[in-house]
Amino acid sequence: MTFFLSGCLETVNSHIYFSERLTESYMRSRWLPPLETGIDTRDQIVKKLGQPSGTFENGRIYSYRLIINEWKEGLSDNMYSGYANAYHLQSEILEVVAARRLEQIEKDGFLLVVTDENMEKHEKEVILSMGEFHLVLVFNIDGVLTRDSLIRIRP
Amino acid sequence: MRRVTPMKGTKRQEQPLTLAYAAILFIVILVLTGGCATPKIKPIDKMDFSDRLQFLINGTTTREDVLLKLGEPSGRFEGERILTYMLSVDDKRDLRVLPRPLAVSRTDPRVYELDPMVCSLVLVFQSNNLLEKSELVCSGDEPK
Repeated sequence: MTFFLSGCLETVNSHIYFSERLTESYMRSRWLPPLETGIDTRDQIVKKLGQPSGTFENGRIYSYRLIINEWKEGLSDNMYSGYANAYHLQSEILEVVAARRLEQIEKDGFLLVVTDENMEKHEKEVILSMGEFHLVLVFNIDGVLTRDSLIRIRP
Repeated sequence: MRRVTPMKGTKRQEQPLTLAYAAILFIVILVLTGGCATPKIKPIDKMDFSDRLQFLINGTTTREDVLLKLGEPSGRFEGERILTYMLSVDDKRDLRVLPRPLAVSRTDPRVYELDPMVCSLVLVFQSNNLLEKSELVCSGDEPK
């Protein structure tokens, strides 16, 4: 059935499709709380985002490994196998399938800060997430945010 | 004492056996050395790739600059003196930072996303947080 349908329906390159949509600006506007340079303190950042994934230079620099997690209830082993098997086959996927996945991200997604503590618990979701970003925050000697950067890791 | 003499044709029978052993030995060696074949690993000039790494200047670039440009490193050693990043190089010679678990798990399905060339960027910092030296070591097929 899928074979016959795939002949009629449009396919898209998965990487390009998601790269064009899950951008840094999309991440900032849709998922990140507003970050105010020169105003936000380290404590305020922790209230907004939680504990960082990593710290550098005695806490002067925070790094957040951010995942858009589409699976509120987590992924069962069966679901994970299904997604994982499809994962490397999907350089070209049906556009409707890609669009459905974006809808799922919009509907059920939430921002997850991956830390060494929760990595094991969320490993499956982290591996299969379509969106991974690193947020790096630099604080001054008074603990006020001075510089920030959002780097897209995936797609 | 009864002398044992080789039967006629024994030598001729031994010859195919010896050949068979040699063939088996050859196949075993081939398989073993195939498994141990050294992958193409070589240092690469950072400037050969996209401008993503051109900000790395010894004695000038800070650890802060590196983190702001490349994100969280895949590894850190000797405290934070040495940071490492796993990078993938695509056909357009563009570099991208790889997600961390890829550095440790080959069962991760995302390995199928890997470009033909995978690199380790090793950055060493001085005590004043300035970059002391950097090295990019790659394995796999260099993009044309």
